[in-house]
Amino acid sequence: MNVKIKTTNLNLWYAQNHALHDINLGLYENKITALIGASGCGKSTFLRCLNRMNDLVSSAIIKGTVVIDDKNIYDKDIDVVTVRKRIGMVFQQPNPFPKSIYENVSYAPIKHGIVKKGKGCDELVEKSLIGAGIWEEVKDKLNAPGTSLSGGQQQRLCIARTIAVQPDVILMDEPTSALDPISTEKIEALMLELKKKYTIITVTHNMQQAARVADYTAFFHLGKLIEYDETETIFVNPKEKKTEDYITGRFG
Amino acid sequence: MLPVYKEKLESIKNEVYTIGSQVATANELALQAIETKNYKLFNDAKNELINLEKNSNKIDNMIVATLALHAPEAKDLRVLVSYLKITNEIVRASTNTKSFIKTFSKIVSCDIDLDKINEYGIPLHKSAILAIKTALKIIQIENENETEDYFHKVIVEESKTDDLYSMIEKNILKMITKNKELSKDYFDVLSSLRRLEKVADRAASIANLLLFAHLGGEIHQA
Amino acid sequence: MKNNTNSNFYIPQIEKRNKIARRFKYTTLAAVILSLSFLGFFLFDIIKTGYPAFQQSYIKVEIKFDEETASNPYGIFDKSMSKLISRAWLRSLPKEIENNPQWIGTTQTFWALLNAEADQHVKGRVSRLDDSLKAKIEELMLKEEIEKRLNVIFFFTGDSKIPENAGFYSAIIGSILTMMVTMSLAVPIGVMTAIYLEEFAPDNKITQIIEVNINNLAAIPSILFGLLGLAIFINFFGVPRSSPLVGGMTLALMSLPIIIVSSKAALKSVPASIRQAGYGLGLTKWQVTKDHVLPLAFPGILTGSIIALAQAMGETAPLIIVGMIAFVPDAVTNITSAATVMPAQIFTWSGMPERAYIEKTAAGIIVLLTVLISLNTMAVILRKKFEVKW
Repeated sequence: MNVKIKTTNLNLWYAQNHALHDINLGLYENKITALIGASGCGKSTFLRCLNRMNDLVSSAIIKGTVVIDDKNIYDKDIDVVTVRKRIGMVFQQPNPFPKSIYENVSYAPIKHGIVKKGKGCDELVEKSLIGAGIWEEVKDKLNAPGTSLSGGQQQRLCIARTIAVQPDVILMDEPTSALDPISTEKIEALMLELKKKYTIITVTHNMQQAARVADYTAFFHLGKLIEYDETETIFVNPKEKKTEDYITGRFG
Repeated sequence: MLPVYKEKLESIKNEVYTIGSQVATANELALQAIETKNYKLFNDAKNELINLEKNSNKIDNMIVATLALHAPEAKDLRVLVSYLKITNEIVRASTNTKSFIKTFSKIVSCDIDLDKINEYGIPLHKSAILAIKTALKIIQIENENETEDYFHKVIVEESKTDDLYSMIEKNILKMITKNKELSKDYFDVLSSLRRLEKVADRAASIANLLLFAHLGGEIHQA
Repeated sequence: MKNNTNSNFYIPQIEKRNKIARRFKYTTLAAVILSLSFLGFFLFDIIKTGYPAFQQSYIKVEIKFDEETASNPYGIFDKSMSKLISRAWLRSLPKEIENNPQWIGTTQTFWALLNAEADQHVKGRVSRLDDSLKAKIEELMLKEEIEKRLNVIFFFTGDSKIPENAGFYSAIIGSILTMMVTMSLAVPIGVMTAIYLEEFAPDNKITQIIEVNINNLAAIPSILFGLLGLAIFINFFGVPRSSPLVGGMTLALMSLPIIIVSSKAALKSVPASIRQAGYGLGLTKWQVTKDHVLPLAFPGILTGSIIALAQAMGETAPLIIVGMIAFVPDAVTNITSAATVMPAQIFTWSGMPERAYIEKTAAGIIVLLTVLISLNTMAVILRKKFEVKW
């Protein structure tokens, strides 16, 4: 089993607030890894370090390395745009662009030079929408605005948009917490399909979701990594007491 | 239902059926041994049951993991909990079977009146086997409304074994009064046949648990 | 008085509380009525004063054209008629005769423009005519040889010393030219500044100081901008005085703070989730801003610009300082010649002694108000139309 992303001594401060303490984590390729923990424990912050989205927060100071395919993405000579092309992100609130469904998916690949307008672009859009499990529902209305879809469909559109730029890794920040149970199940089934081609890291508030879909689970508490193991171990025989307390609902 | 969850449920079901079938097969082989007087078949019967405890533990751990990871509800929950108890029943049936084979294989070389014993012993054995096989069938049925029919069939066989055992008990006690020096052997035969009757009891338990799994209600330990 | 003393639903002070609430409601209602009545009074007065200016009186005359009349138009009519007919109309006769040589030797009938005093009397107002002339007018009105027509002169002629010939045209053109200069300067600079401040500027003290100062600029009295325009644009840069160019540049400075503030608000209102989605896909800041944020902020920016335009159109003080109060009989066609704007024209007319200018001042106010109200309405409609549905 291959380690796709490795963080070493990753620390983060929001101004004076030390939000992440020495995170050492090796995330495996083509697996789903779930990050769980109570509110404010640093799991979303950690996730956003993996694609340098925290660079957009002016008060964030980051130390340590995040290595993917033998390159530290925080090196001075790395352009952040290339990092985000390889490591895509799906957000908690579905946020399609206020453009048509087709344009939502085609915009970024054209800008990155992956395809040009025309047949190649049409094929990429179709492939991405199929990959996100939404092609059948939208193939007749590609010019409708992205915002005309239901919540679950919008989130799948955002997933299609993310895989259209052909990343290696997909980060998901609580992708189903704003959706109803049926849409949630569709997205979870989609995640199980997607892991065959991509490495998926997901933050979730919903422990049962981590239990259902994740191969590996990492438990965070107050900015520290407490336990990281196969999901079955974490949920049947957790090694750390803090982990067990969180899972059984004794706190958090 | 997520595919991984579905696969886990299927695999647990199949494993339970497999170990149950091993008990049924072992008993069939033992019966064959007694009917054809080919006592080598007792070894084959015992071999069927090697590793059964290990496999039962494996199944139990799978059930625990599935309960932890997928938090099943309603029918799925009832099914998994029944299977957890059924593996126990199957292990006990297996122990009973092994006990029967051990004891019975010893007394076949003695001077007891085997034919008189087999007069009721073989039907007893056959009933026990039918009870187990019918109970196991319930695991695989498509239409769960048939569960109750199968359940009644199992209960019928189980009461047959009760009656047959009482008959044998009477006969053996008579034979003991006739041949007091063979009393130990006759007592051994009785206790081994009691094991077969217990196998039928286990089958009835299993059928009860499957009734709970498929149709609901509460657990009744038979 | 409620008789129901069901103890479950009865509160002892309920009567008093309801009374106080009602009193409060009526007080606020009275304030609204008071404000509306002031507004209504003002509008009523203006319309009553200005509405007659949209009509002009004409008199039917017959002229016998021969060599004498062709050379001396002022001698055609007798003394009393001369006191009624507009000098401006008489002035234009020679040209007409030149263009129509076939008239010579014939008698033609014309509707001549009445002069301002006669026109005032026709409209029932006080005039400086003596009684005999007034009687003559009434007689001619009965004979239907004097009639009132729609005043096209008002809309198609520039200012004039002759009251009946004075129009709003050059002021309208001057306003349009000035506004074009203002908008072409203020909108690009303002929107680009807003984009920089909102999207690119780092969150530090310098940026905060800039933002505070921009907000303060909006509160500076407009006449100071006029002084600035005079000192810098006219004296230092040598921009021609009284031209729409200098007026437009001055008003552009005034409109900048409004456009910057409203554009910033429009950009801020675009949800952060859109930008996050863009960055998450590996887009650069410029791509995110140009293709995703700006289209969404566009309605707000458009509205802000139109409101700034409407406000600038009504500005008088700074334009007076830079000299756009020129007397402009013919409308200008380029932005470097002297011009005047609508509010300045109104100001000029309000200072003229002739009584006829009173109604023209009010008419000018009506035209200006109409333009402002239409601009503001258009702003609201456009914003509604371009609002992107979420």
